[in-house]
Amino acid sequence: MTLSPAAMRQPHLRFGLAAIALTLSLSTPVSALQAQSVDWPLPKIKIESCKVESELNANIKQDCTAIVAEKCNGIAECELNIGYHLTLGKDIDAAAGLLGKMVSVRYDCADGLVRQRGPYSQSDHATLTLDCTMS
Amino acid sequence: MFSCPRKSLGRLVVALAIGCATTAAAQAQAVDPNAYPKLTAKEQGQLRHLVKLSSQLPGDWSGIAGNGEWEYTEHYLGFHAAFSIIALAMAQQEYTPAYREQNKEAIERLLAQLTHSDVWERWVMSSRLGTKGHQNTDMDAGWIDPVGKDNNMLKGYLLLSGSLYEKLYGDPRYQNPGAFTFKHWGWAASNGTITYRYKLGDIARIIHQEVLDSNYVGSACEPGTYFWACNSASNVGMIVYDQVHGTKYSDVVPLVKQAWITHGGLDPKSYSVGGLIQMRRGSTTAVESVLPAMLPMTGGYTGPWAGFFNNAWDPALMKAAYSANDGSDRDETLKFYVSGDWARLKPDANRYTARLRPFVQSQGTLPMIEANAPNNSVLWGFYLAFAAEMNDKDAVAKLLAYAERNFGPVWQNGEYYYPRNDDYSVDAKGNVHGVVPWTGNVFLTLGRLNKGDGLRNLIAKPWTDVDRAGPEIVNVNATTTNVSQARWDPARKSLIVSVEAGPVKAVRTTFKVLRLNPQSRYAVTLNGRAAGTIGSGSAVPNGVAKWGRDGFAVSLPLGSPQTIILREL
Repeated sequence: MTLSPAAMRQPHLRFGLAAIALTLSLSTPVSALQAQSVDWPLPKIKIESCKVESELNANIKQDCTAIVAEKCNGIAECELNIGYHLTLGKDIDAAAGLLGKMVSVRYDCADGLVRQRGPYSQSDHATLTLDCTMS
Repeated sequence: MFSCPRKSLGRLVVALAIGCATTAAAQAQAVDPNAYPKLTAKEQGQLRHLVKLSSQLPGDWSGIAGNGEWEYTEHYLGFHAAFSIIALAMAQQEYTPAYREQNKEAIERLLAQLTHSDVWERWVMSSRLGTKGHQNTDMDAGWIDPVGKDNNMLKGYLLLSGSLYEKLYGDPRYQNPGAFTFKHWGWAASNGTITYRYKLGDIARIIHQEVLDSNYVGSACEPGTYFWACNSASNVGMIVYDQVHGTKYSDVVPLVKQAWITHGGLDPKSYSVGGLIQMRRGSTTAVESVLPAMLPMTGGYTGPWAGFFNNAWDPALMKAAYSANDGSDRDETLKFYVSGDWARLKPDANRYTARLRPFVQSQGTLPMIEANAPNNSVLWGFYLAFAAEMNDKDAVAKLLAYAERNFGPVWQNGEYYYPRNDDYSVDAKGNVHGVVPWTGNVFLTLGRLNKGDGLRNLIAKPWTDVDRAGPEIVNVNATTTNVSQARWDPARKSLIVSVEAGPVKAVRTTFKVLRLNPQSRYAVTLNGRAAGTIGSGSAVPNGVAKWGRDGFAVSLPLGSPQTIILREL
């Protein structure tokens, strides 16, 4: 079966092909499977950006890309606390209130798709899971 | 102090031993088990039902959930757990202070229910509200974090429940990071999860700060929305927390009361309450509207709910309010709940005094309460809980009789409860069969076992390390055995334990006794008769008690109720 590149980019077609591939692999004789050495490396997180922005004042923002990249780059799943360490312990805009500083993190999983987490309120009690394992 | 010789040599010594036993029995008879609170069969059955509901698998709300009524309290799953904790805590301190394992574990499970997504994730919707009336847009974006800001209807009860647990058991587990963890799953259809982790101290600090930030109006439920009833619970939570930790959070409690008086939401002179203050959107100090204090503190939606809690620290006002106007507020409220008017869509308000008439007139007119009668079933339960706290034995008797007659109580597996019934039709005599689980399971338990000032006693007579260090019974088989009383009386140096057969038949029950003094001997009395004395390494002749290397063990027959007293000699 020949499919155009455009068709290949359709999610449902990709899913269907994956399902077919999975079914075929399960049908493979056990001895054949045992003879193979299958390596399924998980895609790794690559942080594109992190920023903390005040909801009250659009001019107040701070970049946190380096901090998040140090923690999460190169692993498949990352538990990321989105507390005040992202702004080096400082409240960038106290006037914005407890929930008024918003954290957004963008990352990809080496598949050309950039995922965004957030915006969520900056909080020492909050942890995001950045996840490439389901890619 | 008289002490019996340990060894016998012939008839003279035998006679002396008999005399010793007789004297010991006479002294032990001075300890009258009937002088101590004891759970009745129904009270035990109701508590056993709450314990059972606490042990259902996570997410199994059968017997707990209603039909979507009481939207304002997020369908009350959380309140069912929180008030169950209060009932178990009350029973723990009042009836079985020396038998803790069952209630302790049940409270742990109930606290876990409060962090279940079915309970806490209602906040994701409720955080979009608080715009009632003319303020801004209909619904806001809201947020997920259920503790960081507002949502006092959850975190206030987490504070109270966790603090009661700490006070009763001296167990600091809820001070560990992440003791209360709220995970918002969305990984299957979003970009991942977000998890919020808090410990009990965080919650106390946050609520206290919110009270300060609001100029003492309190901690908001829905955004910008402050309820007197809700803050009544968190106020008591701060008091209990301070008792355990020596903090000063509850210094603000009288100031909260004063703020509500200043704003007109509370009037101690007329014993009236309004119950709701709204702040302007985006502000924690600009009061936008106040529901004026016009309903009696005995009745309506706010009065009994708040009164149940406020009696813990403001008993003079609560007792005065309860009997205000020559008792007519109380009489009218009781009439509302035993006449069937509580379930009528349009009760005749002219049958009531001017004080309660606005509340009666409001029935069926509030657009948010479409299912009027089931919501009023909750208020029915609140009034019972309040009346019991106020030691109004007459009202409690009438309400319990109404429940017995109408709410279809059942005995099942040793549990006694009033199962949910959605039939709210009212007969000519005012009988109504409808009852929601919050009332059928929890309020009817509270109403029956609280003999007055039950919640107040939890605060006014707080356990200390000394209380917790007293003797305790453990390893009770709760399926074969009901423990109706278990108490160490330090003044009489006596442990009093009464047991009866549980739902699963057994010939005997056994349990261990911790923290007896190994240097002492104890006189053993069984069902009022001397059974001998016992010291470390010995046993009483009839096998009832044995003090070996593996501890102090008691073995009792279950063919009939048993009371054993261990009195330190």
